[in-house]
Amino acid sequence: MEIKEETRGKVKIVGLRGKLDANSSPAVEKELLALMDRGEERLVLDLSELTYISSLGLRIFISVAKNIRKVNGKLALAGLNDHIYEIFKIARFTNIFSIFPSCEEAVVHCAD
Amino acid sequence: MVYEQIRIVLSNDLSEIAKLHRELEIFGQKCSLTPKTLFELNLILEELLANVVSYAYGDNQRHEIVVQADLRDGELVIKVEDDGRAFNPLQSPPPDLERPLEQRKVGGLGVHLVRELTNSIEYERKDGKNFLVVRKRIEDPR
Repeated sequence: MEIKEETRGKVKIVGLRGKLDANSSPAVEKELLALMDRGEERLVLDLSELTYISSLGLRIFISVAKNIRKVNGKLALAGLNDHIYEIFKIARFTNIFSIFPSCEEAVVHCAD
Repeated sequence: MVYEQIRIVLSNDLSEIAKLHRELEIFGQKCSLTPKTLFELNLILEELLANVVSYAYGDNQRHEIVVQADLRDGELVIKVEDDGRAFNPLQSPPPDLERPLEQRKVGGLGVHLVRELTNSIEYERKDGKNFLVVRKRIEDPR
């Protein structure tokens, strides 16, 4: 799993590349929570290069979203492939997350 | 009759999930599974294995978990056998997925995903072991 970071104005974009499974999830969660500790409150998670996710990966999104909510920040997810979007639907994550086809749209949402 | 089978012996450590994914990749190629089916097969087995590794053992000993997948006549039959404490995933309560974010729990999704992605789940406790059989109809050409 590779994690890429990019800043656009007030928005931090974090790109996750590879598999978010039982092995990679703890390190990714630690990294994302560390970002929030450093004061990042507007976060776009670019999932366009994410190829796999399991429940241990899904729980990271809940954890990050709760932390963002606490500081009145903004979170958006972008670029989910069809398989991952299907898993988000089964977990009803599509009801609780702002999900955009492209990273650009997610950045606009978070910059508002 | 088209018939393919894979049998993987894993130890009770989450790092074994990498091995599981590697072996399933080879099985998927052999069976010409679609990317969607292979994705779901990986997910189902990761969830089942993660449950066993995380909750089945109270000691610090090494245990063997046997995973088997068979593809026959458009049906994947997935079996997991472990010698951990009795755990019937069919008895775990479904998570409440309609709650707002603040009330959503971080866990409890694994068994839900397995239920949703498969057609049947059977559990049996025999000779001090858990036997789980999960069936999934697939649309793949073979």
